[in-house]
Amino acid sequence: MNTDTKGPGSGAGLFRVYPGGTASRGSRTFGIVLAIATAVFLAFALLWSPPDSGANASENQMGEMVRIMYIHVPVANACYLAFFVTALGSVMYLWKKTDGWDLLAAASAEVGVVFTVLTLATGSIWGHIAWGTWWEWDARLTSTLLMLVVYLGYLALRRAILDPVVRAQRAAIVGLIAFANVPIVHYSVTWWRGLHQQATISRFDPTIDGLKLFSLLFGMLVGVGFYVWLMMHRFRLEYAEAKLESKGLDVALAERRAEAMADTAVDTTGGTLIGPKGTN
Amino acid sequence: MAMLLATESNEWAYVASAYGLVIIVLVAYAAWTIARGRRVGRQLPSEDRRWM
Amino acid sequence: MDVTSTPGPGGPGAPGPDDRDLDDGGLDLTPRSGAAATPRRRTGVRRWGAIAVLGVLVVVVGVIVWQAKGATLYYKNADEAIAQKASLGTKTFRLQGTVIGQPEPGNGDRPTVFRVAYNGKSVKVVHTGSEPALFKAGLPVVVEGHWNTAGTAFDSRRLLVKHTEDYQKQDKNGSYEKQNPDRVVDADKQNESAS
Repeated sequence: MNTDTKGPGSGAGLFRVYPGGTASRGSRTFGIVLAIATAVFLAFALLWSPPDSGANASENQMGEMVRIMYIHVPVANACYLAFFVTALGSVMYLWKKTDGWDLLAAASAEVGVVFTVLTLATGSIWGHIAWGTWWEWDARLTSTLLMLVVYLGYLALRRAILDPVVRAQRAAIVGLIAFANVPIVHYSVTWWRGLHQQATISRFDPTIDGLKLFSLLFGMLVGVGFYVWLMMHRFRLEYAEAKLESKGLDVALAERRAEAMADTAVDTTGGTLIGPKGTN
Repeated sequence: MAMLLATESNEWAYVASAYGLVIIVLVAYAAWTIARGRRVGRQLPSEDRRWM
Repeated sequence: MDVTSTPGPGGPGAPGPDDRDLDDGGLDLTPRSGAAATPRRRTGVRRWGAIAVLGVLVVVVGVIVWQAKGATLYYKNADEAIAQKASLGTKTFRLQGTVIGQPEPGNGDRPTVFRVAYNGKSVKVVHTGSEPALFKAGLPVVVEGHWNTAGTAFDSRRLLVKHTEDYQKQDKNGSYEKQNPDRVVDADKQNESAS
């Protein structure tokens, strides 16, 4: 049991697990900045940006419900980013075979799953009030649900394989294949007919402007900020768990070695011919 | 007018539930991650806490 | 080979698990069972739990893919529904079009009646059931139902609004005036003559 209670020291602060857990000076500072940015975002999204009604309304005249978009799009964007990082980590692991990339891929997949659940939940709320349905088997919704299930499968696969090297290898292949669905999710609204609207900002002529556009873009920035902050903690946790796992393996190996040594000692003194297998 | 107000408050209820859900889930997930980090961090010998 | 030559843990260049054959002095790395394995039981439960979850997820993926077959052709546009009227008969399908004109609102037993248009063709829709908050003239909708037996109208049981991706104000930067210069001039003339 560790009793080291020293505080944050110098050195690579970002990649360090402190006795108190995954927080560091960097993550705390970033967390404070993020909290302030979130408060400003909420003010823009809920108070300062206009409702989609009156003289400045769009053809949809969505009223207050347009505000759901300022949080739905950023969480969706963050889950794309998370799964991109998982794919990047997977490719880099297959290329470099260094554990860090595998840990990055795993940590990012879990954060991505949380954002995907939020994307589906906020989208469902939007769907109920704007479309008139909580759920529809539309191309965008179906492919997003598939994406969630596939990445849940990725996380389950990691837990099912006990050997760290085999796990990293297979997870990297799955992490890479799973990403093929992400562009399908994004372009599903263009490729197939469905209820979900087409792209508003990821096009040459964005169909949103003024404070609505600012709220949306600021929300996306805060969403990326949340992803980065959660990853600072989640990556360190993944690293610490991997270290602990290899420590557990070392302890088990040391036990077996001790047993083997003891058996060999018995063999030599007793003159029996059994090997170090320890068939007791 | 009364109907219009009712619709508007209904819209706000949906907006509030969307924002509330995202904030609660993200805060809960962050708290869970930090708690797991503390538990694992305590078990880890000090020489293994360094990465790079 | 002497077993004592096995490198100790943590030494410089210490290898991973010793995978040499047991008869060559390697370690017994076979998983233990029974009382000796108790500390690792949690790992085993975790592993089999994860394998069970994987099995369930494979079934879920199957269900989603099965549902996705319907997602690729989610609806027929109004013009297609008219062209395929004979083959569709009274079969249930989804119809998409923009609401033209003001809908006649229903109440109680009386259905809501409106027309939807796409590609120059329009269909009369008779809808029984609830309407989403966004339902209004000028917005695209998807209705689920079937042609009536006479083929004169679409009997809808479900009404969904397919709003557009446009969040800019309707009359943006005077483009309406640019596209329809006469109307503005006419309106101004009328105002002048009225005053």
